[in-house]
Amino acid sequence: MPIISKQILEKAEKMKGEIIGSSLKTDREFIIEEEGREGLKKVEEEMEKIGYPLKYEKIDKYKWYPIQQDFLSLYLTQKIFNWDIEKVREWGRWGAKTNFIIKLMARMVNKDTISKLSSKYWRRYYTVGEIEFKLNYKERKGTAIIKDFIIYDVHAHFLEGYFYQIMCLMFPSKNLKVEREKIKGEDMCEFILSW
Amino acid sequence: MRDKKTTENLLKMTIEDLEGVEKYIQELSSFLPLAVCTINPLAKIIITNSAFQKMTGFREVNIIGEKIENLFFKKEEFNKFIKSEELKKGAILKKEMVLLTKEKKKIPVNIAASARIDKDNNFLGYFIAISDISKFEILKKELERKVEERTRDLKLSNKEIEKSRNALMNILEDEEEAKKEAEDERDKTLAIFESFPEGILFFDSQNKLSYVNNIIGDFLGINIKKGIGQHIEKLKEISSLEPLVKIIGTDIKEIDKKELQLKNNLILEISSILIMREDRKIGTLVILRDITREKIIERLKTEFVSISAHQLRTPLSAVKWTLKMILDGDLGDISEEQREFLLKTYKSNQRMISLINDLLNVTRIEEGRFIYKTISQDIVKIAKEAFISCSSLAKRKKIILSFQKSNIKIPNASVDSEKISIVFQNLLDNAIHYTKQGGKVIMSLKYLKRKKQILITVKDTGVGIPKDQQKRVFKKFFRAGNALKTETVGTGLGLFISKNIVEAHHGKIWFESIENKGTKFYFTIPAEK
Repeated sequence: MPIISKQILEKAEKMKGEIIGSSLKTDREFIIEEEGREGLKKVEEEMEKIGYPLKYEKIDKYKWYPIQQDFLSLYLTQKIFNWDIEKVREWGRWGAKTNFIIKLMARMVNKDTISKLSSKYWRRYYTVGEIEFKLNYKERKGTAIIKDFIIYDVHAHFLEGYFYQIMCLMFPSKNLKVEREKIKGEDMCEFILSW
Repeated sequence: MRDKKTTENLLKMTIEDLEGVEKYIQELSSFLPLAVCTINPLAKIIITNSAFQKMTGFREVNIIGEKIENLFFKKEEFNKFIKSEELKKGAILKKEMVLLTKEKKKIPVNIAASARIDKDNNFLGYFIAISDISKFEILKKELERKVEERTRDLKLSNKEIEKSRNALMNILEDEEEAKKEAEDERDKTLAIFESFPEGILFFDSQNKLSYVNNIIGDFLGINIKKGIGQHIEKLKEISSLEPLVKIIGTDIKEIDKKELQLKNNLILEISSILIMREDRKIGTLVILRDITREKIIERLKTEFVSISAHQLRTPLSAVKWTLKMILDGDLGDISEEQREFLLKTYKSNQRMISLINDLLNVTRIEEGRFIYKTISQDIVKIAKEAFISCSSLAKRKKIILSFQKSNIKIPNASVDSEKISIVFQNLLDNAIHYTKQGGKVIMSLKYLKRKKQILITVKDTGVGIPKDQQKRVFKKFFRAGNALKTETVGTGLGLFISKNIVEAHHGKIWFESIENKGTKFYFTIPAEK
């Protein structure tokens, strides 16, 4: 029985745009960390089976790849290894910690500049979509809204972890929280942030 | 306008450059032995290198986003350091702290921090470099320990030296005190010696004059202190010392109470004693005692006794002859009872005359007037006469008196027969008087050929002389305690006179006695050649 449904494949086919190779590289590192090289091989095999072959070793971190590669590899990995939501969030945190672009960004971005610079750095990840941070420092809460970008469940949880880690670098508080508010349409998503 | 291909080529080159830079940074980061990390303005770790991960024990993925203060044993100290104004002004600051690893191990480290500022002067965080100084700390501690140890040793040595110094000072003080005491004692002793009425000379073991007191100068009429340090042979050359050296000899022999008349009005009694310490002679002490006054008194006393005795002897002789005439019946018959009383009176008078004679003999001896008329005499004959004169007394006391003649012919001796008779008489009288009834008295004569001496022995089985009194036997008026109980008659002058007579004949007299067993007197007279 195929682990990926026809609907998902159809959804993937609709996706437009590209993702930077370094993001796929960090995915590779996490899969190896958690499931070993055998696990990575499984993911590659499944990707090939569904007609989206992905050879992680050959990925160039500064090159752009079809965004479907990212979506489908995330989806398949979660399914293959039966990872729960928390594990997916951890994956997201890992990505934020190890990604070279985030490291570069973290050098420059802080809580005062994130609203201004977030779009700039989004574009370094994806060729489609936009992100907007709205932070209320007084109430210690805010939102991160992603527009023109197809969000699906696994990806949303991944981003929860991702934003959490970025917030970790920007806020001293230990009571950080990132929750997806809702999917507002097929290509829009809002995350509630508090610290 | 660049065409698309040119733009793509430029982009490709830029990406290649970027990859090269990243690779270079990664290689540099891996190679760098210094632990380095970047922290943001919240002091949260953003980037670490391999050395940092190795030192802290944390993988980068586990430490990113963590507050760096958690890596230090004293968080407050680190925060104070990192928030320093100087640091924000661009200074590179260093501080020694203790790093806490993942395994909670403490590592002494040296931290260098530098603030990161962007081109718009925004504060971006810090570069932190951490170097492990544990080896240095170990070396430092080891050095400190050695310094401390050495310091302690030095302190101990100082203490020891101080202690030894104090002990030495105490010893020196004690020594000084002892020396002072010894000096005081010496001064005191010298002061005593100086004020001694007796003259004192001390000769060391080499017979060199070592000490002399003041009075010696008075005795000799010279400043003898100048002679200190000189040998006795040298001192002999001083005319006033010659008579003294003659007496004590140049070998300074031990002598006892020898008289030395230096002047008409100065008679000294000389004694010398060897001073020994643990069988080693350390010197000789010569004592000169002024006996001039004693001699004068003795002479006056002797003169008095002599005059008194002479004065007493004349009336006693008259009494003796009167009694003799009455007892012989020249003045008519007397009853037996009268005879008995008169005889007792005669005997008492006779003892009185005998005492007077003894006293006169003593005074003559002491005045040096006991003149000996020595002629060659048969000693056996003199002995026999004395024996015969005593035999009636022995018979009365029922004592066996015997005379043992020598088998060898005894040669004549040059003697004053009258005086030698006194010796025989005294020894036999004493033997008979102090021997109880039934006892024995044996007189014997022997010729000691080798010594050319005639040895006379008088042996009795009498009361003997108590050991503690034997030393005084030849002293004037000596009578032993047990003798007084046995025989009330006796002057205590007989043996004194006998000794003087024997010695005047160059003979020797001595005795052996055991109380209650008997006494054996010996005397020798030189035989004629």
